[in-house]
Amino acid sequence: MTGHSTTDSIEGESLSSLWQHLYPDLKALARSRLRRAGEFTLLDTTALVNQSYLKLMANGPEQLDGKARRQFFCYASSVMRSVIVDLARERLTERRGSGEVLRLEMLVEEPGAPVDDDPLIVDNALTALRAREPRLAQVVEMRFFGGFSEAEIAEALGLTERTVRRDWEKARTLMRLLLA
Amino acid sequence: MTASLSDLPAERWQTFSTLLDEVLDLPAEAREPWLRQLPDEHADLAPLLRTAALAHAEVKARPPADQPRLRESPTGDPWTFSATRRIGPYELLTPLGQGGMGEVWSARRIDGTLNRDVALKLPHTWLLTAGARLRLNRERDILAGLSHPNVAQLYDAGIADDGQPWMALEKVDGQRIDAWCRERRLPVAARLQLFLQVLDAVSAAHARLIVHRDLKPSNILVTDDGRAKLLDFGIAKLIDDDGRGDLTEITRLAGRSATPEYAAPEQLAGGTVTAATDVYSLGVVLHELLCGRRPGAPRGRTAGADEGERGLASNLTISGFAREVGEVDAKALGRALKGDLDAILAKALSRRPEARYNSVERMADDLRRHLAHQPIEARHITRVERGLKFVRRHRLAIASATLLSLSIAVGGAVSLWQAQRAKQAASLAMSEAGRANATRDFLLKVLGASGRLVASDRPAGSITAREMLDLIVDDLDGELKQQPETRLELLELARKLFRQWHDLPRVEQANQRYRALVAELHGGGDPRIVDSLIEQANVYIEYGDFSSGLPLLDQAASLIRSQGLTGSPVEAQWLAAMARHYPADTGDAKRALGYLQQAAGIYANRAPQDSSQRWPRFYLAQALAADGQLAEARRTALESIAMEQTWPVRNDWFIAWQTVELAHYERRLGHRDAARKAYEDGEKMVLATFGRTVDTQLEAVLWRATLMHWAGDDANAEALFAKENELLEAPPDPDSSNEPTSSGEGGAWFRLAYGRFLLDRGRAAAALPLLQRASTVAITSKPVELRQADAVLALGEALAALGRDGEAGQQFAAAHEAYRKLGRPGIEAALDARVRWAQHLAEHGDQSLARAEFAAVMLHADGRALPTVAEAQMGLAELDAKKNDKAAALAQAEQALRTLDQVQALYNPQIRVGLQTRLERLKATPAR
Repeated sequence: MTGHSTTDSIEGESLSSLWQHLYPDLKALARSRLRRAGEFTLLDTTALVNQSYLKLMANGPEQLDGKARRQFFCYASSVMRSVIVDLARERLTERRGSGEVLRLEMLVEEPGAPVDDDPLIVDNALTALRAREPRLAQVVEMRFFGGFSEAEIAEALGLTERTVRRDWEKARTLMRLLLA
Repeated sequence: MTASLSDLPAERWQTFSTLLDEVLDLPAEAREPWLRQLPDEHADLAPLLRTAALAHAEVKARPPADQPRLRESPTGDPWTFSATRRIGPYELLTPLGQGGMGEVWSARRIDGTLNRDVALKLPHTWLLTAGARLRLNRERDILAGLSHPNVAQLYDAGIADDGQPWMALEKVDGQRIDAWCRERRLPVAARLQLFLQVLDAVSAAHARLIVHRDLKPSNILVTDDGRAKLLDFGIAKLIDDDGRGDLTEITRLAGRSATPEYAAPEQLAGGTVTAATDVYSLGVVLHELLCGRRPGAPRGRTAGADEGERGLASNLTISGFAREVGEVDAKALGRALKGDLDAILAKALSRRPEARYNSVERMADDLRRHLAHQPIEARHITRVERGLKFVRRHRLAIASATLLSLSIAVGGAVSLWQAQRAKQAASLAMSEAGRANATRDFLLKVLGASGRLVASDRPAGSITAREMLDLIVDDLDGELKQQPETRLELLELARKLFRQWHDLPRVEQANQRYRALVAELHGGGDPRIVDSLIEQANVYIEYGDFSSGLPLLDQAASLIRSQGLTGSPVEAQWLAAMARHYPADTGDAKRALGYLQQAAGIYANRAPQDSSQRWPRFYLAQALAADGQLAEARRTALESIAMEQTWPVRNDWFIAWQTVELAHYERRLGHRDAARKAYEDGEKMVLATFGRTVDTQLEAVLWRATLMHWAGDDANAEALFAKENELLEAPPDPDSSNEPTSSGEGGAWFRLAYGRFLLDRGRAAAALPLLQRASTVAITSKPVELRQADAVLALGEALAALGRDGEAGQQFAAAHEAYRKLGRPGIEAALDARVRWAQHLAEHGDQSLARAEFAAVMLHADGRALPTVAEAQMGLAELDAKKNDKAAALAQAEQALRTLDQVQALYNPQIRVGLQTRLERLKATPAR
């Protein structure tokens, strides 16, 4: 339930209920985008998050202040992560279930394309990373699942852009090794 | 020393991470010296840091994937099996590959009898029928006997205790033959020598009556020392079930759809597979090795088309190939191909099996003779015929090559003649007959697979019509590029079929392609564009998107005006689509009703027999019911069903759905038997057309069970709920998962009803998880605010029944708030939520607020006799009693029961029991 919050007290309890309120929307939004985009889907997560942010603004009478806004972006990234991972799993199940045609070229599939854009793989690696490097994990979540730019992440986490870029590269390196 | 980063102990991580930062800050050339000079206490981290530094360089070099990508390709699949798992006598080591058939793992025998790694092929169990399992053992012995230096040997095969079939094959470390030739820029003669190894292997297999059936470059590897190795010999046969139809069907269709490029025409047509089938595939592979691509346009996919050739014929000229390939000496290749090789390929690639080499050995002999510059067999037989064919096929190509010299002699006449011929050929390709043929072939391909659109009785594992349509539509631009009108027809058909199959993204895609093609061929004002726009807007609605369609409808509206379509069925369709953007059951019924009545008027006056009125009439009935005109809704629905029965192309799905809707109207009219029968009939029809766990089926079954419960037959209601719930929870049946299944919404409604039933039976704890699940599903058929409100309300009731009043109150407030925000306080669902919220306030909150909310319910009910109104009246009565006004309380409570008497719709009799009890309690309260 929105509407009874004010800018200065929009944290804690009421902010989290705002978010709860938003979750189904975000999820539905992500789903409908995905369904519309067809087979090979690149999720435009930035647009999704921005859209839901605008929607949140339209519901609440006031702008979120800086801190709440940052919290929102972190939260939105984690929501997007769970939505995307759910969808990827669902797709996998759908595909598994479908009566695939018989193909006999299993031994010699072309060498696989890099899989660092696969949400399920990144999700696994991210879970492993979070236990060890929480900040790097936050950067990955915001960049990969939340779709934020380095500048936005830097602002939200109070880091420099250079640090965010280094974190991003280090995180990708570590995730790759953690999966190996 | 730690081998892998994931094994690094937690207490060492911080050190590792800091050191990694340091090493990454160094320039590349300084890293190794730095690593060597690590202090002793860190030396064990050096290998990990080195690996990390290398990985970092790669990561930096590759553009990052910023965005998640959902894959359809198998590369992203996690493995079904895992290392160290034991299957039969083998233990899995590492995964090698996966595909539609299953997975391949590197594996080793557990008992250590043979110290070699094998490639263990693990097909999906569901690909095997009982018959195939039996034959696995028989065929294994035959295949295991095929031992040849150019064949990857099948060592053993069997079925593990858990039913998992496995096949242990020789592990081959090699490269695909086409890639191997390309990378080494192998000269023609060397390619032929390599190919002769392949022929040897196939010939040896044929001698043992083993046909490969699936020869293609990816099944032919070449090892580093230049030895060709054939994979999967006879595996196709091992897997598929020759005796009965089922799995042969898959292989046949797989041949058509998955790798048809190498399959012989008779294989595509499902005919007998013989040695000649392999000869054809070998011809295709050889063609590819020599020319860099497969022969010709893939005519083979339109089986049954005229006896066109699939050989090298349909390419312009052989030397054209050579130029294009450019990977070998073009001149030499051209010379070679124009002569013997051309003839050898033509013979191997003959459409009729009997015209091909009658053995692989003879093909090999011809190639050897060619290499030795001796006359070949193929030339003697086919020279004349081939020459004629060649001229016929390449009239234009030959003409343009010779035009220059001819025109010197004859002047302009020849070129004019040529131009005319070209024009005629083009118009022939575009002719009606041509299109009809292409469309017919297409339909045969699609519908021939399963015979009917609805394949509930199709053989296990066979491909569905829908899958085939996917494959074919994907290929439209390739196969039918030269026939735009045919593509248009096929896209239109695809639009309709995908829509009928509820595959919305595909509908959208097909519509966009359709509109683009119509505009390209017939201009942007063509009425077909309006059709497609309206259809796509409807698709968005079906997906719960109430806004994306409106701009499309605006565009359609201006086309309708500018093209003079006002008052036509097209406009009626437009009106119906508009109406759907204002859903009557949650919004203003009058608005939708207005559009739909206008649409119905157009049909009645202008096109009473037009079957496209079925959906507008369907929505009209819904809008009438939402507006409270139930008798009229019922009449409309009955008429629509009767009308549908008379049309030549009857839509059974429509009848099924309309029948379930009719059942709702009967129920709300209080017609118990008619409602029950309509739910039963409707469910049967849905099951017959689309199958189980479709939303509409779930809706029918939940109401059947609920009506049983309301009629006091709780035992049967319980059994029905429990059985259906089990089916709903069951993992999807791989054989039927291609049927449209529930969007999740049907499941949510079903769980809601089941939960309510359990609540009524006093089992709130059992109801709670069902209702919680129901409340997390996005109900896309309603505008966003209402997606979960009804389930949230029921969840509140479960919590209240469990004494968790605080949480219950939150749920009631949420449900009420959702409807309040919708701004339609008078709809029944809104009143239900509000009365429950008011009741909660009366029991746990502010009494005067509760009174106000009860009063609001009465106000917005506006004189309608609804169970909710009776509840509100009883609530008010109890508030009166708390104020010690017993007389007013009793009067109000008796009024509540009278209201209930007037309710027309069927409702839960427990409401009456509850109100009666509360009345008795009031009566028993001593007046003060």
